[in-house]
Parts: sequence; structure tokens; C-alpha cells
Amino acid sequence: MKVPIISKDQASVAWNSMNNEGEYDASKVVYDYVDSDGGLEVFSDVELDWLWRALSKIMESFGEEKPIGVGGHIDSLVIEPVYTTLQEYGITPYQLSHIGFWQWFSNIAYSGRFWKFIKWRFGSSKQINWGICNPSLMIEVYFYRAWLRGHKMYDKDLPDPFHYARLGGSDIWRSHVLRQDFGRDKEFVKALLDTIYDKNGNVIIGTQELRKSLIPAIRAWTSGSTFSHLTYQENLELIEWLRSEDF
Amino acid sequence: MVLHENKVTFSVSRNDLLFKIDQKFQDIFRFRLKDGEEFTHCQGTVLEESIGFDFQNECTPSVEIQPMQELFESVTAHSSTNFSVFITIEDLALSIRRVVFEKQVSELSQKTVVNLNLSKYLDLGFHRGFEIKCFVARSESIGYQANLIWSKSQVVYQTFFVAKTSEGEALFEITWRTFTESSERQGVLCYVEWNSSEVSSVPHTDCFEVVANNELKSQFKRLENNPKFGELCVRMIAEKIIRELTEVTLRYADIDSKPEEGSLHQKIQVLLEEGSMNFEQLAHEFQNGDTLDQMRAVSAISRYLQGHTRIGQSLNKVQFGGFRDK
Repeated sequence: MKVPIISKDQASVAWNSMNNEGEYDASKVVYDYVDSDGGLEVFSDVELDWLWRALSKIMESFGEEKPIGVGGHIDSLVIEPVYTTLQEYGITPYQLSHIGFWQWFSNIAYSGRFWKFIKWRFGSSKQINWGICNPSLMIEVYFYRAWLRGHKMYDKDLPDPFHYARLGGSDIWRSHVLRQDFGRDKEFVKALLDTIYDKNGNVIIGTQELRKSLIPAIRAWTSGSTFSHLTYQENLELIEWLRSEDF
Repeated sequence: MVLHENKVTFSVSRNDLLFKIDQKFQDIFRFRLKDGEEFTHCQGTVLEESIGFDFQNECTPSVEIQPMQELFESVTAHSSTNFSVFITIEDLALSIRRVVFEKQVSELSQKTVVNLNLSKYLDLGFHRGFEIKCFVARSESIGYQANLIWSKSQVVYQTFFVAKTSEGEALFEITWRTFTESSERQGVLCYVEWNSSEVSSVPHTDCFEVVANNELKSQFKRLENNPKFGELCVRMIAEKIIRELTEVTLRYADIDSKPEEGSLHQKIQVLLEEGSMNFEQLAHEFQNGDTLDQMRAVSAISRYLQGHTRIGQSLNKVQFGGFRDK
């Protein structure tokens, strides 16, 4: 299935129209496409109907004036429907690595409804959340990050395959997983999240200890080592040792 | 070495690998990008292509591993049965790394070729390329500090090969925004919108945005393409923005802690170090120096950034009409 992609400039025009007029007429937009199988089918608004209904329910459950401090919870809830929808239609990681797809998805798709979701989530006007940025900053693109968390951490052998994808706040994911070299290793990320949070998702290690102590210790250790070939249990034990006074 | 008033700070860099064996092991892993090519032991970036290059179908990477049992034991004085060779592959766009090969050093008695068929990794796309890392480490950890090399995570020797797209990461992106106020639509070109003073701890994208007037976008593009003054004007605008980012970062940086990866502090530190300027020293002058110290720091930054953004060269390239003394 082909997916539509647009340029940063096209996304910027759509974003400004959505921001100022509340709507954007995309009828004259000329799309490029990224193909996966040579077929004629095109991923379009039709395939996004179920996803939009799932996201609408999330919005309704929190209300228009959502309480302060629920952003991380919303981000966790978004992961499964976004990942599942794209998986169901066989959209490939190569296609989803293209920022042009997320620029289309965030600003134009489904008559700008996903644009409105991002606006509701953040309230701010930082265009980077809508994908208007350089590809090297893609982890800051809201729906891409949601899909990526699902893609990296989905585990069919767990009672809840999305357990680790959902676990952890946005700041943890952005600063301590996706930006870090050790964040590339799935078993390490699982062990790190299980160190920071307990089984119920409550915080065990606060921001200060994390930032001032644990993360610097891990980074110091990785200057001459790697976690990439360690099992979950080996990672867990090593992190515990790095937290201890022996290190 | 940095001198702050009466305080002297020394910084020491150290080699973190456990043994200085680079020279002896350099022929152990050799790499080739495509079938039919010769294996080579040059490490680092072996291919750089434009974005859109199909790494998954255009590249058929292989790693050749030479038998190393005797060499390993003679250099490290460890039994090779306790150590293994690992090869990982990483998708640079998705930041996902995977172990693709693992074998005990003692079992590698013959030359071994590991073919990495990128197409078989269906959950990876390699949109921005890939990195292959080959390393030797313990097969299992032993008791803490029972030996210099006790943890499986410690790397005895490693090499890597990268094939990637050539795009770089910009210090800032421009957000083209349509202003609602008529006076702003007419009068404002661009400015830095600050969102957070936590320059050392949050991602730089959370700290600021460079906002530009969407009404002037086409004019700005014309300016950019103007062969006479375009480059000079754009460089002057960029230098002004970078100077503001630098000064604000120096003012608010937490100089007692290491900056977070991707923070504005980390990025400005890299920028200043390219010109051999000491971030900590400048930040110290900004935060604790007297008024004159701060003013001198501003001058030093301005001088450096004008050189860095090559404003002088841009003016020199401008062609005016009439006679020009060479």
C-alpha cells in the first residue's frame, strides 16, 4: 500500500491555515507517495476512521478542558490505536520512517482532525509536534513518537503486549530512551523502565536521582561497554549495580 | 586546563577500552558493503548517500571474521572459551539495535563470513542508513571485580561500519507563523520565542522556537536566492539568532552538572568547542563575573560567531558595480 507524503512547506501552509482558520482546503494539494509493494492501493482517510474514533474517545474521557498533568497518560493511551492501525494496513517501517508521511498525517489527514488532537494535547503552537521540522528531530513529532514507542517495545509474549510501550512519561522517553545510545536496546529499555517504575507504574526513582545519579552512571559505564547483547535479567542486575555504592 | 580566578581545573581524558590492543586486533573484522567487493578493514563511515537512498535493497553488507583464538589469549592472557564475538545492526532512523551474530572466540577456528541480508529485517527500514558493530566481550559475567574484565557488558575490542544519509542536524528550525496582529504581520521578520530556561535538562526543542513571519516567507526565499546580497543577509540573520541562543544558554546553564543529551547546553557547548572556546569558563563569567566580565564574554562570543558563520567572507564576495581595487 502506498502512503501519501507532503513537504515541510506544504505542511507549514496547512498548519497555519488550521491554526488561524480552523480548517484547511487540501483539495489542491499534490501528494507524493512512498510505496511498499508496487500495488495501486493508497492509504487514505478511509483507513483512518477507526483510529479517529479511538482518539475521540480519549479526548472525550478527559474533556475539552483536560486537567493539568495528564499529558503523559494521554500519550500512553494513544500508542496502541496508532500502532495497531498502521500495522493492520501493512504500512512498513521504511514508509513510517519518512517524515513526509507524518507531516501529512498530522496536518492534513482526516480533514485536520489529528491536527486538532495534537492542539488539544499540547495547547501550544510548537509546529515540531506536527512534524514541521528536520528529519533528524523526528522523535519530537507527536504521532511518530507514539508509533515508535509501540514499534520498539511491542511484545506479543506479554499479557499486555503494549506494557513497556505505555510505561513511562514523555520526558523519560524523550530524554532517557530515544535520545540515548542505550535506548536502542529493547531489553535494556525494559530493565530501565522496570527500575524507574514499580509493577503498578508508580515512580521509584524520581527525576533528580535519575538525572543526577542513575543516567550519568549508565552513561559513564557505556563509555567502555555496551548493553546491546545483554538479556533483560543481565541488564536489570547491571543497572542495580550501577545504582549501588559499589560503582 | 581552565583558570577561574584562583581556582585551577584540570580535565583528563582517558582511554576507556580495557586493553590497548587496537593495533593488534585491527585485521580481525573486515567489512564489505556489497557482494563481490573486496573486504576492507577501514572502520567508520563507509557510505554516505542522499536521503531517499534505498539502503535495504542496494546494500548487501558482510563481515569477515578472522580466527583470533591465539592472538586473543596472548594479548589478554584470558581463556578464549569465556569470550564471544558479537555483531549488532542498528537502524539509524528508528534507533533500534539488534544482535545478529554471536559465537565463542574459541569456536571461530576458521575464517567466517557473516552475511547480513537487510531485507529480512521486516521490522526495520534503514531509511537513514545502518550501523554494524562488531565486538568481543565476555560470554557470561563473573563475580563483580573478580577480574578486570568481569561483566559481559565490558567491551574488549570493537569496530564499526556505518552507511548513512548525509543530512546534518540543524541548531534551529524556522517556524513560519502567520501573525494575527496586523502591525506584526507588517513589521516583524523573525525572533526567538523562549519557552523554558532549563537549557541543561530539557531537549532543546522545548526551550525555544525561532518564529518567522509567514507573510514574508516568499520574500525571504527571494532574498536567500539573491546572488548579490542574499548570502550576506541570511548569514547576518542566522548569526543574530545563534548569538542570542548562545548568550541565553550561557546565562542559564547548570554548570555543576553534565548537560542532558540533546539539550541546548550540550549543543552550544559543542558549537563553542569547535572554536576552542571553553563553555564552562564563559558560563562562569556570565553567571558569576562582574559587569565587565560579562561584557567581554559577549564580545568574545560575537567575534567567534561572526567568524563561524563567515559573515566577513560573505561581504567580501559581494560584487559592487564600478572599479574594485584588488
